[in-house]
Amino acid sequence: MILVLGGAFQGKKDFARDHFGDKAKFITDIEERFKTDKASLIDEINDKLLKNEQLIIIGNEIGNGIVPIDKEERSYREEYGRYLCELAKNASEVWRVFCGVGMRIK
Amino acid sequence: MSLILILGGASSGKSEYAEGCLLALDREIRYYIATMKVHDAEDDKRVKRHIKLREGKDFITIEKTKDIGAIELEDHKGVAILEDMANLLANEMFDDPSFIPDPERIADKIVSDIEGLLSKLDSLVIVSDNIFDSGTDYDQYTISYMKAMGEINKKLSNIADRVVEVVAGIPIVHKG
Repeated sequence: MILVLGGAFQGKKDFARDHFGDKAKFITDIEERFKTDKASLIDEINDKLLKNEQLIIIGNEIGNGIVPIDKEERSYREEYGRYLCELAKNASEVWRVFCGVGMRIK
Repeated sequence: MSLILILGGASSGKSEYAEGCLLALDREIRYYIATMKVHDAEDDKRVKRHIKLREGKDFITIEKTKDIGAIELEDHKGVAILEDMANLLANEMFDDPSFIPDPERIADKIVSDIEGLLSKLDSLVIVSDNIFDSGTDYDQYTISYMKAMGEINKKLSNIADRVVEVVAGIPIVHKG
């Protein structure tokens, strides 16, 4: 599994498609799905990992801002951050995209 | 004496990484300087999570929510983690409700406290925060807070031997 991270609107998907090719299997916008549809997202990812399918997961980093006032937002941000740490631990490669440029950090 | 500055976003794995850094220094006396004030159950949960993370790592915990330069340490051979800058800055800045924050003055005060603390230690690992990527559409107090945090991070980075950003638990070395 390959994890691609970065801020919003940094060109993560374009980078991933250019770098890993169109034929790769992508799961994108995981920060959105983690908010609205967490259980099915996690199931889908776990299922593909169990089957050892080559998978590219793309998600925003959302923790690099001011702590949100809203309690739900804070707890979402924390849970999602921990989930990214877990994915990164299990990933064979982790890339971070900044201004369209990908940097391999693992 | 060495200073390591660790930065990262919320829940980015920076504390765990910082603790690993401190353990790698392999010194017998390890301090954990906790700066957070516990206000509610959410804070309490956070503190408990950190205590659990430190279990078995043999830290001497010092709770000091501000004026960290005044911490007295018996010998100069120990190593310490200061966790974290976001709370320390909030405590220094917003404790007095009538206080109009002056980001530069606060930043200078905190950096000088840190220099004082560092002079009593072998090494210090500071956990600080990246709070800068959600724009600047905030009230003047929050903006002052962000400005002070930016100043502190830049000043500390300047005197640090090592500056590391943690992303999803992965270290990215920016200096050293």
